[in-house]
Amino acid sequence: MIGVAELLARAVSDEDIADACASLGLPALAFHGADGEDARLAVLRSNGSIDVAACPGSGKTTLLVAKLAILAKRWTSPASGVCVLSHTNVARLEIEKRLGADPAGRAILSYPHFIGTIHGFVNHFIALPWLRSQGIDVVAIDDDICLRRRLHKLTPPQRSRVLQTKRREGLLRIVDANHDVGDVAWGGGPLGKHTATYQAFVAACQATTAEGYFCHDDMMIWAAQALERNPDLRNAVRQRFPVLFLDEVQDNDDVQSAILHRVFMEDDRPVVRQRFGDMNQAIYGSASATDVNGTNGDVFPNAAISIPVANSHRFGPQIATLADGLALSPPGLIGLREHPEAEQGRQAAILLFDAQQATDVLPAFAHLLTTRFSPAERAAGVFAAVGAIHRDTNRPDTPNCVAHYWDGYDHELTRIEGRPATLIGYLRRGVHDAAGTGDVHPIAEKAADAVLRLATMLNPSVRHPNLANRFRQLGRLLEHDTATLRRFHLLCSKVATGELPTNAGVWQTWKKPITDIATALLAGAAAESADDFMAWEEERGAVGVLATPGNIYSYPSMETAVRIKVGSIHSVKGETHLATLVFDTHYKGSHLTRIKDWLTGARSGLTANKPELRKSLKQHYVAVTRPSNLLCLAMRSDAFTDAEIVLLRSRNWNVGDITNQQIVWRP
Amino acid sequence: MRLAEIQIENFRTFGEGDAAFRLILPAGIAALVGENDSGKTAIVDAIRLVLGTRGQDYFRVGEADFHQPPDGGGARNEIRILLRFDALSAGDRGAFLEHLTYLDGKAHLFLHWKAVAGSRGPSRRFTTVECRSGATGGGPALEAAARALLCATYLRPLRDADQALSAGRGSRLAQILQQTEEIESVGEDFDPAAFPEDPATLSVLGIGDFANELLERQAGIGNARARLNDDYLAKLSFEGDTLKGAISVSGARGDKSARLRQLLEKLELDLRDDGVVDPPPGRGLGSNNLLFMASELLLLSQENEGYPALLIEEPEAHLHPQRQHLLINFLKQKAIVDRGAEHGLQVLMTTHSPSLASSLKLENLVLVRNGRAFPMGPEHTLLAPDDYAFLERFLDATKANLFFARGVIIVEGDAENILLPTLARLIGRDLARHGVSVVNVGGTGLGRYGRIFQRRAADEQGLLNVPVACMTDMDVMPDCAPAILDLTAPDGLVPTKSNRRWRKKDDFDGDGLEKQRASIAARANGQSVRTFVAEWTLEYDLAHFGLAREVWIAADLAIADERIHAGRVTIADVLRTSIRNFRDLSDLAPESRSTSVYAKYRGGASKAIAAQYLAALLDRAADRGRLPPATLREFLPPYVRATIDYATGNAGDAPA
Repeated sequence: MIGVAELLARAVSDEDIADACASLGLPALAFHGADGEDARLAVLRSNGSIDVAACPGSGKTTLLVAKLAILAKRWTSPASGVCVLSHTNVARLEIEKRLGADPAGRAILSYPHFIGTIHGFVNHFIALPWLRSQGIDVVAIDDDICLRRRLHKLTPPQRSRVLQTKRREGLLRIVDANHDVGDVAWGGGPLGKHTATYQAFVAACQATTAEGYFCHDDMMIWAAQALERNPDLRNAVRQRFPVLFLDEVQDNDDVQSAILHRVFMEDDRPVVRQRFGDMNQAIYGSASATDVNGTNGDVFPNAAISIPVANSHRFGPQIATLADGLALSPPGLIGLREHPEAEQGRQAAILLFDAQQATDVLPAFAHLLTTRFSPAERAAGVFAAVGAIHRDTNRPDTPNCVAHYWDGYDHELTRIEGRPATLIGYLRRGVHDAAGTGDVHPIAEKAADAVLRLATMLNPSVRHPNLANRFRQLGRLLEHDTATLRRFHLLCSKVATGELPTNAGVWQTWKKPITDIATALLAGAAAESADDFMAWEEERGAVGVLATPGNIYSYPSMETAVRIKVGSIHSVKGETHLATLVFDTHYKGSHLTRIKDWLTGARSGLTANKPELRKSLKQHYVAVTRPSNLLCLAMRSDAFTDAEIVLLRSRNWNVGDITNQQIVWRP
Repeated sequence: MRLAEIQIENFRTFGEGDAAFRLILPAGIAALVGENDSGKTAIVDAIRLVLGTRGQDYFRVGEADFHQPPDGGGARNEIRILLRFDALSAGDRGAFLEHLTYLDGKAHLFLHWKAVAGSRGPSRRFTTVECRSGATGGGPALEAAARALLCATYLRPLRDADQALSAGRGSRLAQILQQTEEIESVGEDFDPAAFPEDPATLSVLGIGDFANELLERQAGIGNARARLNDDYLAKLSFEGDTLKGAISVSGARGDKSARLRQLLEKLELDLRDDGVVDPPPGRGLGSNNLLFMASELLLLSQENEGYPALLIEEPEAHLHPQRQHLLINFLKQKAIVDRGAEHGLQVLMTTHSPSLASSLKLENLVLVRNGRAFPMGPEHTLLAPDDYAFLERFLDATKANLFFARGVIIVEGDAENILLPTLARLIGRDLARHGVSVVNVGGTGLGRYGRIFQRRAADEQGLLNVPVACMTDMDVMPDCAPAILDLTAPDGLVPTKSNRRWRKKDDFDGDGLEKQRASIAARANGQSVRTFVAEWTLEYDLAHFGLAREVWIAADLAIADERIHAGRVTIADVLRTSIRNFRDLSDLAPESRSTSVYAKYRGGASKAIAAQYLAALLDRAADRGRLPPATLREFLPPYVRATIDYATGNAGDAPA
């Protein structure tokens, strides 16, 4: 058996790359580029630490998956593995889906390897073992439940005072291992740390820790303590994971960057780390003004080991050039998509409208789509309309947010990935998860999750052990209460057979039986009410290729020809659209006007420390790099002078005016 | 990484709560010693259940494995086994990162294994098994791949070494060889396109593939194929759809590891003496056993990852004592010296061999008795550091019997050693039937042997419930003795106390004598160890309390022993003279008479030889009905009676 060092020392051959492509169902030369010298090849061949600055549409995930496939095939160590960290479980699911077909690749999805979120990693390998070692039985890592429980530990007057503050129970978040809750704004000024009230907060947090309830960010604090108290720990981590992949590095916040650096890189014998990211798209994470993501001077990308991938298969040269102009540090974007001759030069447009006609923009864009794309293209592709600000901020300027462009916009709908707010929402999520498969399992799981959650809300002080499988957990809790367990099974079966209520009236009759099940879990402890959670909630639609429910604009409303997803720029990060419309929005001034000079090409790049401007550039860089075929910016007619319009046109922007929900192109 | 602690509940003989099993293991080698049915194998099996074993010994929980409490009541339905590992290497800490528990700044691995018997009527039993980490089992479940790193090598008792080492499907030898690095790393693979110039440069698999290729190309096979095709198949085929046969070596197209396995299964291992070219087949069972263990150790020594553990049941099987000794020394070298604590091989064995037990240091032994473990390390016993050094020198195979006994009598001389079994049998307390060992420690160390059975934390962890009776002399003679034994000075006076090494009764004032007796008894006393002190010496006491005539005659027979064997005198002659002389003592006061009998032993009679004659005399008397058990019992010195009664007191062997 060979060691990990030898395994990494072995060069990646063309054959390895071809094998990986084959097992992933890609063409053999998928990564070679036109000249066989593509930067992606260098990334695949590298077995050392590298920073891959990957432009939008560069196929970063595909590249990462191919790297994993190559590694998986040669990996022999039974006790050391590869660690792949990202920000969302979506990334993990994506990697699982692509590697899953390949038996060798599948191996990398389980022990001794790890693919998951940074939080998941820190919890699983560092914080949880450490907490368990203190004799703490970790029941839940859940901000809602934990904060509710902390609140519950206070006296009733303290509780109501806390709920009157702006942060509400969020006040009870700890900032260090002493359970200090930081500075608390309290009436006129800060609450003194020596006061009985402040100490009651600290005591409440200590109590929940001892009982095993945690907020997500608490875990970073306990992980830091674990590393401090066990100097050997990080060596063990490096022993276990000699290879680390970090995806979407630009979104790491300072705390995450610091702990990852400390665990994997600091001092002697750092691991092999390959980072993938694009600082130009850093719209989450570090708020630091310099944007270098540079905790401990560990800047991304580190020029010495950086491999920029600047060519994109997503869009053509026109969008590439215009987008490049918006980047904080222009990567020299190259657009590799080829458009038919008749389409060339028609990929980017600025749509001008009168301030009073904001609601005409969306219909005009939709109409444009019907003229530019065939019904088949429209059915297969995704259209989106986005803005930096999506909900009304009550600023005087109009339109200042996405909602002003479409009065049908409902910002509440954007919480699609979050936890449902109501029990009926849980049950619907279960039905949605099970859709089409005929499996009852997703429904039973969500129903069990919902009932357990309801029980916690009815009485936050009753403890339940925390098992990954909620259905089984419920089964265990009700082991000796077969009558209740049978009632729960009946609930699952009714949901699974399509009897889920469709109106508030019928739901009313479901509430009591469900509440009874949850009450049985309290073993006689007093129950509070959980009316909010049990309330009826209207179902929101999900349509067509846009599988997730959300804000969908249909045009025309009868006999729909185009569906457009409407939302914030943040909500479309990482997506590819056939066409994207970017609304101008306002926050301390118009966003697009603020970056006007970058649109016209008068300026390029930015090193100055101007936070609002940097933020605007990054957000709109993300927005304009979404579409493959058509990019439109919607701005007020008074945004540009005539001279600027000339500049825009010389830069290959098409310019049109919106009248009567149609576009009149300027010659 | 080292298995440091085992806890077992509700598994076979082990109960739960107070009746649960707990063992702190010594480092390196741990030998579980103890009588049959004490629970040794259950301990090994419990470890096998949690860790799994290499090879093809699949082992699952059966219905009978669930503990049945002795006080009646139904079988328990949840077996719980806890293993705690410490001394984790950097690699171990990495491999089990998410499972670790940090205590006192050190990483430990706890595994909580649980089997729950579910029941849906008598015909549909099922058992669910789970294994989680964390000090209290609150950690994640152990992944199968992580558990594989812990997999132990298990050598079953009375293993069939011949079977394991011979060729054939699934042979253990093939498995061992396949894991051996050189098998794959040495030599080149066979390339069908290039005929190898020197077949000796090929790898094992290369040779196999090469041979297969040669077979398929071989002319005779080619001819046969041609005839099959041309003479038969061609004539049976439709026009334009010719059937063709091809002859190939079976399995030659399988994947690499399958091909290699098939090849290795053709190999077998046997023993040759150096230089003997064509030896007779079939070495003995013992030699083959050794060979088998050697190959398992070879495999184990190549593991760099995980936890190298060797579980051996009765390694002494089929081995004579010298070889047992050799094996133990080899294991010691492998386990402790070669690798160091973090990477060391851990050996856990069960044994019934006193030879083997005596080859190990005392601290490597764990006495298992009535479902409880009593490790013999310094933190567990009342033995002092110098006791360990002493016992390492003197605890030999004969004395190591004591680890397997239900009761122990520790004596300081050959005479006791010879006489006690006979005396006990004749008063109806047969030592063999009571599982009692007599251990003769000679002149020194009585207390040290006794302390083997005394526990440091008896209150918390329980007594070692083996009655240990130590017999010792009281070196104080009756006041009449100095004159009889001619110990007086020429002037007929007894020398002053400071000018002699012996003591007599009136050297002690008041209760001084009793205090002296108590202080001798206290040298080995407490817990299940008792010391019983003679009036003076065994021979004196026997004579004094009722067997004066027999002890006297036995002394005469001992003195005449050489002449008897040389045929110069008959036993009957000696007896006649002896009995006549004995009558001369009849007028003496009891103490003087007993001292006079004892004087013969100071004057040349060998105590050991006399003891043999005495045993024979008593046997004969009993045979002839002249010495019924109750009578003999009356005649025995109180301390002998008490010794036998105490050591055999475990007749019913009530649970601890």
